[in-house]
Amino acid sequence: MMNQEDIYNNVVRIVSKHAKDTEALNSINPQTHILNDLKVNSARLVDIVLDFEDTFDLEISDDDADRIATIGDAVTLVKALKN
Amino acid sequence: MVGQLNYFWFGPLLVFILRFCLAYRSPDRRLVRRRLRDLIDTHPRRPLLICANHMTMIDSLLLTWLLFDLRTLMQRFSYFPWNVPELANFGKNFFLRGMCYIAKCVYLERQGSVASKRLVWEKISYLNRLGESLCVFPEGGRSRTGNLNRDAAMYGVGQLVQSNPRTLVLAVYLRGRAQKTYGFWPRWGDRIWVDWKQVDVTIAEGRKAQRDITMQIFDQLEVLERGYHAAWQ
Repeated sequence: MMNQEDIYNNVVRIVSKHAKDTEALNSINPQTHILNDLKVNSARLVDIVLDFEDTFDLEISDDDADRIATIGDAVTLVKALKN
Repeated sequence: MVGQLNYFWFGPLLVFILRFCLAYRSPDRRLVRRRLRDLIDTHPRRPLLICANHMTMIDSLLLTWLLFDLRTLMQRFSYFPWNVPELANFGKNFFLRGMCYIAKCVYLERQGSVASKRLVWEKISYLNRLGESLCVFPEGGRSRTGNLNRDAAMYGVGQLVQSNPRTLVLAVYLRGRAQKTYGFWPRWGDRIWVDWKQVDVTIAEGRKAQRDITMQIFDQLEVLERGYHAAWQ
């Protein structure tokens, strides 16, 4: 059973792989915007969602995936789906 | 019908500009067109999805000129491919908007909302189901690396094929001999290389399958790119 901290750390690890602004990773927090702050290519959001599904063993619908904008959104969504 | 009538002046104008004003040459184009026409004749009711590499702003025009002869487009206007240009680049003024209207375009806003992207998806999916040809660039934008950029892959192309497995998927490689990196258009008088392969995609359900289908298309594009380098570099 993953706690909130585990989920957060895994989300950050997954998203960091696709960040183009590596400087922004130093100040990453739940409010960090994945596209605007980390400069992740929007096409890579699908890879991030697929990694979430594999890592947390869950399925994310297109509607839910479209709602992920920040690190916090991703953590909240994963937590909700895990429960 | 209006679009088809437009082609009587737009088609020859396009060919005149590309062949005589910009002096582009493509010695293999007749063979390439004949192969494609044979494929179309073998699968007459399947929609074409042209998936091409992307290096210049006029790739769509070049592809239409090099892949189809005038007769094919006159007889079957549905093979004149729809394009999905970026609104910020091709919707700037009345002239470009007029050109895009005639040349069958659906505008996309790359930085647009999720809703606007969904609307574009619905439109191209509808056109595909109608049997219309589509031309897309799975790299999303012009390659900044000088070669095919797998890291920029957009999985929407896989999603489209997944939604209509009858789609006839073509990987097309287009590049001027002097084209070292991306640009606005190929150099004046350049020899343009064009070659294509049909992609027999393996179709499954789910988001992962969309990525797999897209990667199968990239695999074929890479084969074509190796052919370009082997022949001309």
